[in-house]
Amino acid sequence: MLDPEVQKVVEEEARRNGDDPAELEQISARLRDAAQAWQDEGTPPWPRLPMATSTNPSTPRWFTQWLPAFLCILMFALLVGQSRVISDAGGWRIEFGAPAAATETATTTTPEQTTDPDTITLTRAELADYLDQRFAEQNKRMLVEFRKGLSDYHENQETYLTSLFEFQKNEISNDRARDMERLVNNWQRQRLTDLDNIEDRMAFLVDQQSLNNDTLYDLANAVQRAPSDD
Amino acid sequence: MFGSPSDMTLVKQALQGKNESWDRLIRRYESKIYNFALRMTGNREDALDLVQEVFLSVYRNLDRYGQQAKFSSWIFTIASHRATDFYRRKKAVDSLDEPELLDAGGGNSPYDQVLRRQSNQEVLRLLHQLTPEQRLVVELKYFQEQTFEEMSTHTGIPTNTLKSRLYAALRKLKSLPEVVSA
Repeated sequence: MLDPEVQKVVEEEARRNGDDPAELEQISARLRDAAQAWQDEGTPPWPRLPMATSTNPSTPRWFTQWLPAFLCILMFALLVGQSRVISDAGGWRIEFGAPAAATETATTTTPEQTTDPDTITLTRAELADYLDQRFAEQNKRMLVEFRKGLSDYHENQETYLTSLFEFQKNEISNDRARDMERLVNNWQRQRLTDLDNIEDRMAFLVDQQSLNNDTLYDLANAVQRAPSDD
Repeated sequence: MFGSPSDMTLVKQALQGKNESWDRLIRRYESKIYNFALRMTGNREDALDLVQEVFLSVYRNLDRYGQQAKFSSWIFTIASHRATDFYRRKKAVDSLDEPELLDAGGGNSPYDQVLRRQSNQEVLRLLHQLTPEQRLVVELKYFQEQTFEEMSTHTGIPTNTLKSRLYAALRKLKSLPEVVSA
């Protein structure tokens, strides 16, 4: 059953243009069948939410992008500056550079101590030991942290390389599948073209044969008529 | 109270910034829009681009959506306009290529996929014989089953023009031997 609106349009326009409405109604029916034959295809994956959120971001994007980098630099600066947070009777404070204890020891020596050469030697030796010990601890701690960082880096590299390899493998596989599909499509298209060509040539041969038959038939008639003319 | 929320509810929630509602709204219509886009463009890549453009446009204009029209009609109005824009841009760059479905996609068994691909490929080939304007009219009339009045409302094109385009499309298809003989 044709859509009444379409039928009306076809009849009116066909009358005006001198066309055959039956043929156009047939085409319309073909289109209707095509619409019914269409089978919905699933939507490929695509980013739904980023599309929405990108136009109305709740937080500035630069903030989330640069925050980790900023924190890394800050941590590095604190580490290089040998910073310490100290809590004592005077409250909280942050110190940079050499340990305050050494300075304090050096600056809090009493006048009696300064006057005694043995005491001075002892204090200096203790201070030197203390500093050596702190430097050794610091170096040890930094070495441990460095090794840990190096190990993390290697692990990350391995994970990254594995994912990269997987990704490349999938890409190559997809490419191959796509190429194969294209090859099959082209091959099918070529086959259809060849079939069309063969069909055209067969039609030509049949036409030629038909013409030959007609010619032979005319010749036979002429030959049959010839004796009666004599 | 129970069951899936209405389109209007989802729209309101999406406007309040609820991402889940927006996601749900998209999933409700993306298949229809994608298949519309696929028929209009003839290939999967362009169809997906068009889908994204349509939903981006929907999102940007969501606050202007009123209840005077059904959401499905409203979204198809936007889709029709975006499809027209797409053709204008495409025309400026190059002529539309042969319809090409690179792979079947869309699930089920490989056999189902092949059948669906062949069937849909034939429909695309048929539609590809028409100009973009004629294709849009045929799409809205035969695939969306809209009346000329509805088509006119959605596209902003006068009904007489739509009728002329439909008739021109039928005549063009009539002149093609592969369509007549099929």
